[in-house]
Amino acid sequence: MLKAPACPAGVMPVVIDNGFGGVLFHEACGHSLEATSVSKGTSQFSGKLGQKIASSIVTAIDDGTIPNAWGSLNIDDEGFAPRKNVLIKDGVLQSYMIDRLGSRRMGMDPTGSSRRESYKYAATSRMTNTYIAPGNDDDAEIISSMGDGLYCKAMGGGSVNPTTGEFNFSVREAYLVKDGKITTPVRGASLIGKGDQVLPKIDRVGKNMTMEQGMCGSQSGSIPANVGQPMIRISSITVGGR
Amino acid sequence: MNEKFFDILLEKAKEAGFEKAEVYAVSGESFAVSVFNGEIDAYNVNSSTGISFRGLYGGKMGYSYSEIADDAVCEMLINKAIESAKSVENDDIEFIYDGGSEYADGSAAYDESLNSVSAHQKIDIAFALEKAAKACDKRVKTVAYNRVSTVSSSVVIKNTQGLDLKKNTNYFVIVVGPVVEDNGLMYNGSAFKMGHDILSVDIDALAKDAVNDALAYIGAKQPKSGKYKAIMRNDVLCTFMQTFSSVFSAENAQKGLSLLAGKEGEKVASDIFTLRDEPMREGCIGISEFDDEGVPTVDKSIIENGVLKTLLHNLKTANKQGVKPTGNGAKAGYKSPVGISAVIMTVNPGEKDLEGLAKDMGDGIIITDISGLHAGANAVSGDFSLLSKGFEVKDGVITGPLEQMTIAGNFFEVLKNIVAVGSDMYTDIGSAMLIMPSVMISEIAVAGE
Repeated sequence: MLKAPACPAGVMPVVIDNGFGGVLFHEACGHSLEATSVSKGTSQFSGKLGQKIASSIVTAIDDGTIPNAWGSLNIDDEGFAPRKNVLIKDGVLQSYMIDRLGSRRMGMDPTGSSRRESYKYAATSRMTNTYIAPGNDDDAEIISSMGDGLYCKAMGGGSVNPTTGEFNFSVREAYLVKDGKITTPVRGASLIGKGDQVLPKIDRVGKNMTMEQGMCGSQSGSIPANVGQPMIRISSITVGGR
Repeated sequence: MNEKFFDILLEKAKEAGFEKAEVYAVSGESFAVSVFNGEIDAYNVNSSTGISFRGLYGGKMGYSYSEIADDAVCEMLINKAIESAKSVENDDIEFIYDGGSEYADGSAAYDESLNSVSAHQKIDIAFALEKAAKACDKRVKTVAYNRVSTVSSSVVIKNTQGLDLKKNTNYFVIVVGPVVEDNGLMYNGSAFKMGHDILSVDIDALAKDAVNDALAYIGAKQPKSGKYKAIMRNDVLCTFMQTFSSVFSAENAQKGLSLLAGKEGEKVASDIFTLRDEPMREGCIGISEFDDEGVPTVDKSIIENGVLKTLLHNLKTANKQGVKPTGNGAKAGYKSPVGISAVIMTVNPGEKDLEGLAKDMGDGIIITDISGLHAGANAVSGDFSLLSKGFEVKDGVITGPLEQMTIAGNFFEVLKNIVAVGSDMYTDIGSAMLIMPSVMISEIAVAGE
């Protein structure tokens, strides 16, 4: 990476590898499905239950019950048992993550998603272990059929504006792909987009799902949260570079 | 705070074998109320006290902390600090500052009248603000946040070397974040106000600023990728400088984490750029006459006409480099070790306002929002690649809003590429206060379509 040239800027197909690549879903969609913004009508996914918001190969889950996982809970911070919440099934929005206050505003049941950093914060709806479920595509084919684009091996952090859905995240390790072959490493890449525009553009989902640990910061402080996914491909997304 | 307790603690510390010892105590009260849809959404009243004890024991500095300030914790604080001193392995020399310095009058940081504003009055402001924002424009869908808060805090530093200092600070912050909807798309804006005189805030004007901030982006387009001339609007420059402010810390320089290490006296920025730290800036609510080590603060240029004049020092880094401390010893909280921070970071203004700068620029972009700073900016290398919003400028006139673009470059190159400095000053609050104008940059890489 020391001698890597700067990443070129523009719109291109992008492959994001498994594991921490799940930060894409966490930012692009996860935060916008929390009652904090959904209940106020300020999320781009407010009022979209039952609608198709992602490509039909996308199933996404927030599961606070995985034994010994970084983001798991025995009970949430308002006393509810954690659950496996299927957020998106085959591209269709199934559920939000809802705390008690959100539940009252939305007229829906809480989902075992109430969390806070410490006693100094009021609990609110948060993610636990959030991941895109494994799909049917083969990793080698995902890259070989992409043409020219960017392969993101390791992701950095990111953030999102749940109202507009605008997200951004930095890429720690990225390679240019030419004609379906991984070529030179590039530095300084970032990915930006809007959640509702990017989710339908996921055109490949690999088989090998892994999760990695992160700290997620929001209204109720900084909490441990897992992100995860198999390798995925987005048919076109804006890549920041120079 | 029970200040008699500090004397007892220091006395006992000496008896326990400390060569020098110091108490740093902070106590504060804060109030915050948020309103959503005509109901109180959150109401917080916090009061906290924290004391930090430190002392030189066997030539090493030991630290201990407590949230209780009475005789019962004396022994614990002293024993823990001895344990802490015994486990220090590095040879950095740390200091307890001697008394006897002259201090400026920082009493303007505190305004008694703010304390007499009742919770009811603050709640009324929050209600009025939400109502005003909704009344601004029929496209206002909701007000996502709307918060009125007041903070009051005092810091005491007292030590065995004769230092006995106290300062009080208070201020209010009002923020409002409306969401507007147009053609099925939502846009959000925000505006904030801070100061001492909360009752004189023009609520309607603040609401209007925030709503206009959101309305301005309706119909935003994605620009074409390429190199552009750019203006960083004043609020963006504040955020940008705050993000990279650690490069001015002598501690980072000494650890090899700042590319400005050893560059004092060299040209590091454009001739027209002067960056200052003005801890006693007149009329500014964040003023402070002494830093968190008790050293008098001083107004100074960090960069003057493009030349790096000084890095920011605390006692430890100044000693290491053989220079005078600059009064920038700063603790992030009472439990934090002494680090380094500017107090009020300012950029000297130029002649023209934003409109004038845009006119001079001709074709280019105005950057009005940057985000993802915790991930997309690296203060060690200076590299950044950040999600941004802004406006397109053609022939010196704003032609429309832009979104879904990134700006990428290097902080140190941006400093050198500043071709004009504006007269429009914006005040922001972060870990330090920032007061800065808009600046024009000769070239920045933009990713879009």
